[in-house]
Amino acid sequence: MNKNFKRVKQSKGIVEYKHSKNDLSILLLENDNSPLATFMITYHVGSRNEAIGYTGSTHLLEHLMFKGSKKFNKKNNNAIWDVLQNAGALLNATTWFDRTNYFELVPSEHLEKAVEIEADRMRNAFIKEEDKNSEMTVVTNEFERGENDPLESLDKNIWSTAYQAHPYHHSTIGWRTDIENVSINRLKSFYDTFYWPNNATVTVIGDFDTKKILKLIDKYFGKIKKSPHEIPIMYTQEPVQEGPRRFEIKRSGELPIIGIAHKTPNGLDNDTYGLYVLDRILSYGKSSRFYKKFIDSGKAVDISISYYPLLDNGLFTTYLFAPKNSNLEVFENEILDEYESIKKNGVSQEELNRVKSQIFSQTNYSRDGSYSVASNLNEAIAIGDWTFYTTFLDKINKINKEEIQKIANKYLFQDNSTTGFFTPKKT
Amino acid sequence: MQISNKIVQSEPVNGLNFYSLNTGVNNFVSFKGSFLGGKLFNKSNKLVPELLVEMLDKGTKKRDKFKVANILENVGAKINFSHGNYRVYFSGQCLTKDISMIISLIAEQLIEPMFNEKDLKSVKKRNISELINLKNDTRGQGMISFLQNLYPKNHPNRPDQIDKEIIEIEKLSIEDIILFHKECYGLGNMEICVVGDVDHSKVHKNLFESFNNWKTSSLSLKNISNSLKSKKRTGKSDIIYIPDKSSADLIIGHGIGIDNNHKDYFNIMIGHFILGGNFSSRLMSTIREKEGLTYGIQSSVSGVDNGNDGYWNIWGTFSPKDINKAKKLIFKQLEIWSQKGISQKELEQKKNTICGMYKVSFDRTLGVVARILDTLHRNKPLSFIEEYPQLINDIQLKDVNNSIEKYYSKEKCVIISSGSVK
Repeated sequence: MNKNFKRVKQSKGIVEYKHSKNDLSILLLENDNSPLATFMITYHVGSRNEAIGYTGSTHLLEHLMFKGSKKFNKKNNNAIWDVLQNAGALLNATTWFDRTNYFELVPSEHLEKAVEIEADRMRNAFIKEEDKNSEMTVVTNEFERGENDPLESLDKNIWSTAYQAHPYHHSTIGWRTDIENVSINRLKSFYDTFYWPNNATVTVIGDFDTKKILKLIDKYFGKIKKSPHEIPIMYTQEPVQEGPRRFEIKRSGELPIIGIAHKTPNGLDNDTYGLYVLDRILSYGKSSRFYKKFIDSGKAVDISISYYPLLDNGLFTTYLFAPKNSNLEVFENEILDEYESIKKNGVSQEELNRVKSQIFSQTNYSRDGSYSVASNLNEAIAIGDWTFYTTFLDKINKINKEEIQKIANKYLFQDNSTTGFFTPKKT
Repeated sequence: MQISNKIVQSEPVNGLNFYSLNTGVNNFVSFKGSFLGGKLFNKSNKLVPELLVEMLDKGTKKRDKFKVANILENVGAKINFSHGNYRVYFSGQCLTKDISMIISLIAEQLIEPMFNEKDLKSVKKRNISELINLKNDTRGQGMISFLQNLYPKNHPNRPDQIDKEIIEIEKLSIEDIILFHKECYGLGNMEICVVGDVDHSKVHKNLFESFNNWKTSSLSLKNISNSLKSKKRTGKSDIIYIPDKSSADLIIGHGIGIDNNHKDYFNIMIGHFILGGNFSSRLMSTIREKEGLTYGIQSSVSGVDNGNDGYWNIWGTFSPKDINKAKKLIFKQLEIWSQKGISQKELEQKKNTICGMYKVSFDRTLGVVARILDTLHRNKPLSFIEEYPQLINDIQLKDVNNSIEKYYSKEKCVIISSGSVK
């Protein structure tokens, strides 16, 4: 065992280490099914760390992180994309409310290059004005692409209506004028505030040797010091909602869409598991209540629930695509009737057993491939505890029918709701 | 990475071919299978084979649709049915202990489906709504226009107009579905592949018992071989106007007249990969990285399967105000690419990229199963899985540059802008 690491804990084969000098967290899972490995670094910073004037900065910064660092850049003829893609790596980065992650799925012989690149850009990324100018318009086009999609527009408006004080109010891509006007100094300051080893978790899954990978992580990340400042805490909390909220978007389009959202607790709250089961009883598969009621009957075009645990409170949102020229209020009442039925009568043991079986199988499938495991861990890291991934199944198995009914009553009530209509405009 | 010699193959019976590969995963498998019965096998109404596939999960003569759904969902398994021009596909994942039951259920769904009027009515209604929604999709509308400009009526690469498809859905009846199933579905050309924690002999026994009495299909790819070629006269610029869209799609390309068995195929494929195949390609480096005009732009060769003469196309998204600037910059890159060709260094780098990506595609059992099926559908031996990287490494610079010159003509380009573009 490398003396610069201390072993923190282990869960379901995944072992956590911490670098003793800079507090970098490391999660390792060896698996030699194929000669491949995924290297990922998750920074504990997302759009929840932004405020008005610089919304979208975390995401714009993520783009700039590919523009070059001290060792890896165009001038040296070894730009990040070129080096890794020329080795056949699948690489990218994503930004979300609570985290930013950079990952490389590589043939194992190229793992060291991934470690070296991520370590170099942790503190040595260029973050230059001229790069920001060209990347800002790239991100603007990404924003525009999102706005082309009526569902994405409706979703953004649901969040911004439901959350008014908390930064989940704005989407990860940010407001257009903030993307266009944020200064390079603001981005640089954002980078200098959050991109430090003590605010990051490295995950390595796949075909590697633990001793060797720890040695490599120490070699490249070990020389980076921990931040000279405390990582700032985002302390804003959403005030209690005191009544239902509604809005309507009128825009050219074809199908009307309705979204009904209810606020949920933070991801590590024990009610998360019950909400997850409730989502599936309502919307997952052909045995689900919504499928039978809306899809099999031919009443609606599509229906789904968007629910995912976050570091802070979240939303449990049902989206329904209705046939052209439909009256959305009819669908709204039918969705709410189904909620009321569960609140009043609960769910059946058969429904609960079915969903538990589905989750059991899917937990097994989620171990298919190193990237799949890393991706699942990434979301657990983001909400504040990576063992959320490894203990998820055990927690789900403890859920009973009564808890589902209690949770439905606790969260799915009118004063906690935000309802949005997308109404196609006649052109 | 040696895989083909680890794949276990059963002796085919009545055109039913079974392959399996045991990998290091525990307790689950991924599976995929296919047989002839895609939309080109019904010339009078291509929507009949499509909607038939959507009816396959609506129950069997032994159990209704909810019983079928319950069986699957109670064990956390899924069977997805889908279709292409030529084949019907089924795929999914399940726990190892359930694979025999899943195979039996697939056989039951394929051999004895329950087709009824009420379910068809609901499927038709939903499909029509989905098609109406597609009218609002800038990329989808752009591609329909692009391909219609390239290919004549009845060519496999030519999509129909959405309104025509809606009329065809409205016309079709449950009798059409029953008749197509009766006349076209069956064994004779079916492959099934299972990858993961699998015991070949157990699955083999169950599989061949389950499909034992199914009739042989009369379908053959020879019956629908395509003699139509892409249009000679193209060279056209068009705008598809869709209101209230903040991003527009730009599509540029033309037919190449060859399929993926032609000697030039890999040369032109890698030529386009260098032009716009990934983030470090020429188009991404210039139009995105340097000019900042787009979130994404790519160039590729498509429509080359089953002997069809394919096409190349560049696709990118832009702010509507930047469309004309983007066109100019893209044609400038095409001019440099076609006149100066590519360099030896670029070629070697992209060979490494393609071979590495190929290796990475084996990360998941789902990727492995798809790769095996793809090899079989291309009529290649399983050893092709290992031969592919060598084939890429053998590509020569002069052949790529000759192919670029041969298969690019500015005058033949069809240019489609789709969105709120004036």
